[in-house]
Amino acid sequence: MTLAGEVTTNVVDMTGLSLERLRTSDDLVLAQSIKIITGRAQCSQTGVLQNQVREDI
Amino acid sequence: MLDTLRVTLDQLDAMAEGRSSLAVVELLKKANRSRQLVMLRAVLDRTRGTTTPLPPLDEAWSLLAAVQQRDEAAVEAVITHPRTGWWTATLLRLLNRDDGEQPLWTHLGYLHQMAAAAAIRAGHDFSMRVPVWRGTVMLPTLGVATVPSEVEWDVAEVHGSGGHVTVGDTQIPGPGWLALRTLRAGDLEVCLDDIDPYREFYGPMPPRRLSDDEVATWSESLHHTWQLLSDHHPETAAELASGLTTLVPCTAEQYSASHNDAFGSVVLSLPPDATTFAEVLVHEFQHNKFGVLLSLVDLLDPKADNETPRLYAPWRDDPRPPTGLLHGMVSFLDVAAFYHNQSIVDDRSIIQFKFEYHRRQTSQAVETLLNETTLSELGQRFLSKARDQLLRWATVPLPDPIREAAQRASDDHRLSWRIRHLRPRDADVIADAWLNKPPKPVVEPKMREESEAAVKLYRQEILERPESVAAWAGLALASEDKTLQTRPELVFTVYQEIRSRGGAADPLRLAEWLS
Repeated sequence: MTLAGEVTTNVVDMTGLSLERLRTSDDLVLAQSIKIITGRAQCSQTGVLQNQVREDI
Repeated sequence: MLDTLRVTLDQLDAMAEGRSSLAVVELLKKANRSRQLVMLRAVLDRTRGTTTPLPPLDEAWSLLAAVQQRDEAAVEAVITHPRTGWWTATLLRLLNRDDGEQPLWTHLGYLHQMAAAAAIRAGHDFSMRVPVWRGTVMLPTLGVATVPSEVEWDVAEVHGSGGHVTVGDTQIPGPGWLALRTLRAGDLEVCLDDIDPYREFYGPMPPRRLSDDEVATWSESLHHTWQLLSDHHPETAAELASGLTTLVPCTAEQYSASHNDAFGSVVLSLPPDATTFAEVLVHEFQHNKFGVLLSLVDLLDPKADNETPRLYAPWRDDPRPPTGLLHGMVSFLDVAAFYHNQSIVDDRSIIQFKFEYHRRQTSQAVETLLNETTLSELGQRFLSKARDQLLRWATVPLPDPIREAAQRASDDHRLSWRIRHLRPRDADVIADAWLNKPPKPVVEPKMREESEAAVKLYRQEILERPESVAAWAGLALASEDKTLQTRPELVFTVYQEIRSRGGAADPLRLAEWLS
């Protein structure tokens, strides 16, 4: 925790960062975030949350 | 150096206790946007130098960046669109392990479609080649164009100049163009998406265009639902107005779904009334929110096995993994909160029943998560807050028949699940013991008249259909036998073993013998 009552996350805050800067940024916090988030995305199973199994698919 | 996002304990507690909070939704929208941009950058990094029938992804990115300089809102609409999150996550999985279901370049081409759509929204002059599937080109947030093509996958040029836009030879708007339709109700504005090829989180699938009458029905239904939410659940309405962007109508009955990577989108069949529609929106949007929250914090220990289906979820017939049970718990907690608030203004028994039933379901799920999964420290706190809220709701005065009906419904589901999915060890040994020394007949305890009649019927049904789960669950409830109510799977399995050996047993006598 950073301050009392707050939890630090691994997700970078992209507020204010333009697409042009994002394209080539070598910011370390961004790099770390990319590693963690893409690792999760690559390994996760299907993320569909449905109330019943569909038979028409 | 960039900073990371933070979540406050107050925000986590709001979600744990089923309290609506616009501040939480705003944080989650920010987190979702950041997550989508991070994944976009990852896609670019992973595909640099890849050759496809389309221009390089860098070119599509350059167009998006140029449009952003001119009209930030146009690019925001496309970046934060639910499909973008689904696409980036799916593509990263495919880059890791291609399933070969469609050519990879056609997935990569979605960035080109995004760039073209953003440019059109901004009135920016451009040209961009994009994938074509069975003669259709989807431009996210805008619509789908039809172009001549005789192959499964093709390429077309989207061109914008001075406000005139063409896809191949198709002018948009014009013949061959299906625009995304928008529904509005109060502060809520959503797309009614019946055309995106991946709108139901799999695909591609062709458009299923709703008629004008069907759209009118959806619009009227949404209007009534919004009236209910605005009048009696204003904080929930504010959350939805902020975060919900897309409704995908589907043909399956009584169906609803959302996706961890598609924040703001709900797939659903048309609910029968405003209360049910509101319940579905609450449920699915809570899934949306929780999916983003789980990208920020770990409530389950990441080193534990959280993906193997093995746990009892009171709202599903199949075993669920810890992640699935947690997701369901959070959504049904919000549904219980919805019905709790609704019962204040709607005194129908069904509303009270749904509150009590969902409260019981969620309480059961919380106990399972606390006792049978490995939680992080935050997860322990989260579930403790949820349990405290559920305990407070347990003190809400309700008529006895409502409580009893909710208890029976939840007991019936729990018993049926145990009979279907749990198998005790050594049932064969126990069956042999029964057959070698059957117990002497005993006088059965006196039951209430209605219970006696029910027990008689269930006994008969078990004789005729020994594997009927419903009959066994019904017998457990009607007889109030302790063993049948706590370990129905034991009695059921031993009974089947006895039968398979040519023997016979009365189910209640067997339950009493096993106690």
